[in-house]
Amino acid sequence: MAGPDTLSLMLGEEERNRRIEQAIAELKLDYAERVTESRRTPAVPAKTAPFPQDLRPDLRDALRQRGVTSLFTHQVETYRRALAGENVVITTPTASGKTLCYNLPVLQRLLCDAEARAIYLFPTKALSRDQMAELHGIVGIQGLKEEGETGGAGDEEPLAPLAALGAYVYDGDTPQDRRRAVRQHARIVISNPDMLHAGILPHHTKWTNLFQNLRFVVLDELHQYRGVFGSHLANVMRRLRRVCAFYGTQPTYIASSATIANARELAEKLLEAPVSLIDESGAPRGEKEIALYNPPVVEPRLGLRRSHLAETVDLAERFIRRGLQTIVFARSRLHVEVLARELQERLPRHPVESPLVRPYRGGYLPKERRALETALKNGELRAIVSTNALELGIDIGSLDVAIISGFPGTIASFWQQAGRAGRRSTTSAAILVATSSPLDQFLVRHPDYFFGASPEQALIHPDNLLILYAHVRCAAFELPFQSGESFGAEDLEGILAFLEEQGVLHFKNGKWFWTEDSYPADHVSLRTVTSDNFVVVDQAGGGDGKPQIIGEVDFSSAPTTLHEKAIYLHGGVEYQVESLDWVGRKAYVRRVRSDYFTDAITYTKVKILDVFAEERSIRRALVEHRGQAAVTMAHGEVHVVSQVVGFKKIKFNTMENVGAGDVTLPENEKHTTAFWLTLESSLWEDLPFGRAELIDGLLGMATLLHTLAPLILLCDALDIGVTVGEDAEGWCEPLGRGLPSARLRPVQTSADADPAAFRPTLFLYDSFPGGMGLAETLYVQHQRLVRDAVARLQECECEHGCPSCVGPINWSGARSKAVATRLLERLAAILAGRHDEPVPSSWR
Amino acid sequence: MSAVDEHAGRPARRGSVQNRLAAMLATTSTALAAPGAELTGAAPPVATPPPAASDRAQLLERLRRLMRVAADEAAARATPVSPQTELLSPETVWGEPGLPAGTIVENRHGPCYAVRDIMPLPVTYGISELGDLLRDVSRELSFLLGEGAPDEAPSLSRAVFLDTETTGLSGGTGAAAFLIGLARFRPGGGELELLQLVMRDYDEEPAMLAEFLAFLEGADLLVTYNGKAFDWPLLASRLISNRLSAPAPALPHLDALPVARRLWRLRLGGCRLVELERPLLAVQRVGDVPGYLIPNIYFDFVRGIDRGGLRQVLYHNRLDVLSLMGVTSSALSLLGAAFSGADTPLDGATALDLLSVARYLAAREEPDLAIASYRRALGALGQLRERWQGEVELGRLLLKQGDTAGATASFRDGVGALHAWPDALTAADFEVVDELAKVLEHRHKLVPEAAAAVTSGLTTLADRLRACQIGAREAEDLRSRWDHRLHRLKCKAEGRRWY
Repeated sequence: MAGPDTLSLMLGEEERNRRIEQAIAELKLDYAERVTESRRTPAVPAKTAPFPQDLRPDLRDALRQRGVTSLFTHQVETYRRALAGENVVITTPTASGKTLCYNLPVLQRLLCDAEARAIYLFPTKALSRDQMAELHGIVGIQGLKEEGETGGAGDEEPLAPLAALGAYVYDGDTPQDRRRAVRQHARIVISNPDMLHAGILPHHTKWTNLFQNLRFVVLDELHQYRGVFGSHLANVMRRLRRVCAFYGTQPTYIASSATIANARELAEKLLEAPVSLIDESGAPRGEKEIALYNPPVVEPRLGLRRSHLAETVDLAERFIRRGLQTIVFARSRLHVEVLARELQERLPRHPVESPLVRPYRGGYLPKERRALETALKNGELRAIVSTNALELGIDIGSLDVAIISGFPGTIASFWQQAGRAGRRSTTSAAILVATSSPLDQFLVRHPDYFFGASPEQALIHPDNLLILYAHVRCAAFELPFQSGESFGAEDLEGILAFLEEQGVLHFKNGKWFWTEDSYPADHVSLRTVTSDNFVVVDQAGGGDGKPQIIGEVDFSSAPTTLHEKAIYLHGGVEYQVESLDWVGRKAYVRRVRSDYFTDAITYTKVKILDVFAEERSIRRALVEHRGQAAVTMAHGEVHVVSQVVGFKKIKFNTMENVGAGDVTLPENEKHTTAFWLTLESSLWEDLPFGRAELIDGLLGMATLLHTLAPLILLCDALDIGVTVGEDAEGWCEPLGRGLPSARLRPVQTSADADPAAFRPTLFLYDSFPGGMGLAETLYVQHQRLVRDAVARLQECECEHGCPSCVGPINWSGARSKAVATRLLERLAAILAGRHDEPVPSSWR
Repeated sequence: MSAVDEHAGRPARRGSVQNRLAAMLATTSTALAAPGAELTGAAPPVATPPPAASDRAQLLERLRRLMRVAADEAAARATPVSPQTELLSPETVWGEPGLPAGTIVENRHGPCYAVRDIMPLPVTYGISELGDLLRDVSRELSFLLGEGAPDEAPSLSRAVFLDTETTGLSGGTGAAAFLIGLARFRPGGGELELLQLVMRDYDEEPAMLAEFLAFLEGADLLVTYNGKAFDWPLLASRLISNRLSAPAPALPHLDALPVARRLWRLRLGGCRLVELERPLLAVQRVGDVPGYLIPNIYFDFVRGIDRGGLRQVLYHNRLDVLSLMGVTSSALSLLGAAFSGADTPLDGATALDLLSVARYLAAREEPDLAIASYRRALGALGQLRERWQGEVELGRLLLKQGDTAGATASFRDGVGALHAWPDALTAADFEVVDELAKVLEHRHKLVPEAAAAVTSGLTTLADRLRACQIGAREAEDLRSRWDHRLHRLKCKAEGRRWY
């Protein structure tokens, strides 16, 4: 291993290559069993093209001054198509010059047409600031002066000078006294969807200059607009188009996205217009080694592995000690702190006594990031430990190695994080360190998910009735709706009639007018996370004994984490909830010493309201059951009622159940969409399991399917709810943290007498009211889901269940894994038609 | 989507909104369930598509259900829900008692309603004579308009006074002005014309705005109360939304609200129009409608729920326009008095107003007029606290103008008044001591006198501390500041270095 003296050196290209190859080879040699897969993506040479003929000379000069003498092919393609008025979405990899893709056509157009304007939308404020600095860098244009009268120069000259192009951020942080100037002078308005929604569109008459001359709308990080956020954005885009139509403009849209399965489809759904996909990158890439690393099993019977954090530290140290610059991605802020501290302790400090490893947290200003970048460049800093804050297009320069500690949730994120390591001419490496979650364990054994076509689909449902309704209100405020107008796929006039009934609109002479003394957009948040959080108040407080707010918990998690007597863990310290003020959104806690934590028990009842599609399959092997379904898969609209009814006390370390308590909290109900799977008696009656064991198995299955589903859906596990029960009046199983042994009373079902009437059903439902399309996709993809779940169970080394498959053994029942495996194998066989075959639902 | 290909040929049975809703109702209410509509997936429950009207009804029902769930959640969050207004028949029959007598005016955008009053001058409003606005006020207007003033002498003979009533909110494209109240003097100057333009329903807005634009033709000044922040931006937004153009170039605009704040906040505190009416114009509104109710009165009118309330809004708006004229007239008179320098005896109230004028003039770089106004105002203020605040300001202004003797006299008067002051003193009141000491030391080179001034300040402070609104800490600061000054002055007097 290289001595500490090498730490202060900056490495030459050749030396760096030698060291990284050596480190990779050693890693594979030392940990042959832990590295489940290691593949190399080859180096790709640059495909360049000369500047387009029509590119303005001043723009050429500006590019040359920045050292750009030719363009990558995808940049030229975007330039041509965008200027021809085609909507495009670019999905080339991280660091392939995506920003220039949209800046080039926009600047060209704005320079040729002194009136033309553009809007740039970024999902975060930090990105907006970054991109403004980038734009100002390209063209040497300056920020808005206090006097700010530079815009007037365009009148005399037919072509606006480059330096007169104003590109300004307009968001919640823009001071009030500047906003007017931005509205007047900005040629490029840099903002975010939330500001467009609540700050610009409802005041479009103050933005006539912008809307009358809007030529381009740029949407960066398009893949972020999925689920609820994406469904909202699609409606904001509908409103934008409506306002533009009023001013007689029809802008061209340029979007960029991480690589996902359906970038083009997503863009077309968001924009409701044809969009061309540009996915062939002309940017060069060095070779990159992608390794999947699984921490060793330390307790085979329980399926326990060594902590991924400890493994991450070991791996990072190996690379850093070789003088290779490393970025470590962790899944939470806490993990970032832990990893950074551990690495700082293990590594010597730089001669000037600054640590070689620094944590990165979100919310750094561009200046602070520049400082980090400089420190990386001159070798003062060897490694950065970051949350996913650095995954978005914020530029910190390129590094040698990316260590991704725990699957970041989506394959798109994985590639964005892996892309942070990679220089154009030398080899780089990206290593995923798996946690023990089923998803991580599945992925390290199925590398094709990384290297094949992405399976992840960004789903949106712009016509979700609640979301659509909210935006019809907003749109009606902006411009009166007229008879015959359309907005979304639902019956618009029906919604307008409803709003009229509510006294929000007034219909007169073919138009609906806004008649309420309020701003509708102020009550609609585009993000899933509403501001409606619970604050956690420590009664004893800090040193002064005054109550002190120590944390926040979002609305949906509050019932399970902040009920009375719950143990609330914060910063590694235990607090007990003394009282919960549901209306005031406050939980009062006090610090305690506790050797247990609490696990809330939730009853979730699902009632099927409507079946959109279903498929019944029979077992061919069972002649006597011909015509009788063995399993029913379906999706449709459901009514979900959930309530926290109690909690268990679970001892740390041993996971023993050491007590329980009751909780009284309001029921939470919603209409949403669900995918479900009903096991008919012909599927399981010949299996040697009792009723209780069958349910244990089903609960294990539920845990597993729930954790694997995000792989298809590009969503967070929290976006999907899971429950096991019977439809309607039947029984439902209490779940604690998605895990079953919370059973408070013996299973009693409506069908104790008649086994055939017992129809246990596993529901996976959309957490957001009205649904986001997750259920339908699960229905369409259920074969894949079942297949993946079987693979996970078959390859898991544990005996009776572990956190990496059906859940820890203490929680899921002794035979949970065995039953789940048999059920799923049989299910997979039926679905694949091997010795059983599915039949059309009409044949029964 | 490749996933679909895997399952190609399998018909998805996702139904229309209506079918989804039908199924939703079927599972929740047995009465509505069609036989055979259980989840068998066989034939759809209804063979022929239901008529459009029931589709609509079903969608409405679904929305209500969804909203109810959403509202339950909202109720748990204790957010107040706006009261539901019952919708009555939207039939609108004009001519019922709702509005004062007026006419339906028509232009190429359609009709709207207009209430017009032409009154021969003189028109007395409270104690104000509105015809007085026609006297020569070019100097005062030029001052008030500042840089926005036209080149030739401005007058109010072609001014338009404007006040709107709106559907609420302070901006945003969803707010509308449903009533535009206007006033002007008719050419020739013998008559005052009041015009209230009303949209009886939302479709009359373009016609109303067009009438408004026609009324502005030939006008050379717009006078409003808070119109720069509220009425005018709102009307500009409505013009854009209705594809009409505001007059170009923009009319000079006199917003009387900031002027009123300059002139009367000192004496009256609040400067909302209704707060000025009684003290300035001796007008007391009777049976007026509170402003916050106005949007709902209009919504009720438009929906035909209650068409009687709007009459009161017109009355309210009429008073607003007249009060705007009256207050404008008062402001011009007050300024006129300062400009003319007429030496009429002043009562306490007028003296306070004149002090405000003096400050206004000083802020607008009219030092000579300001000094004259200060002198007259201070002379009449007697033992009011504002007295030596004014003295200090006047002294500073005089110093700036190079009148050292005048300044010294002012500061002396101020210090003198300190001793005799009957009420509690604040730390700021004592600043006059420092001012006097500084001017004596630096301008007059009278170091011992300066020291004497500081000493007298210390004495007053010691005598009056109990009665002062000064905290121990503040008094200590003051004392140490003066001790330091005194020490320095003594050193200087003795010709040695103080530092």
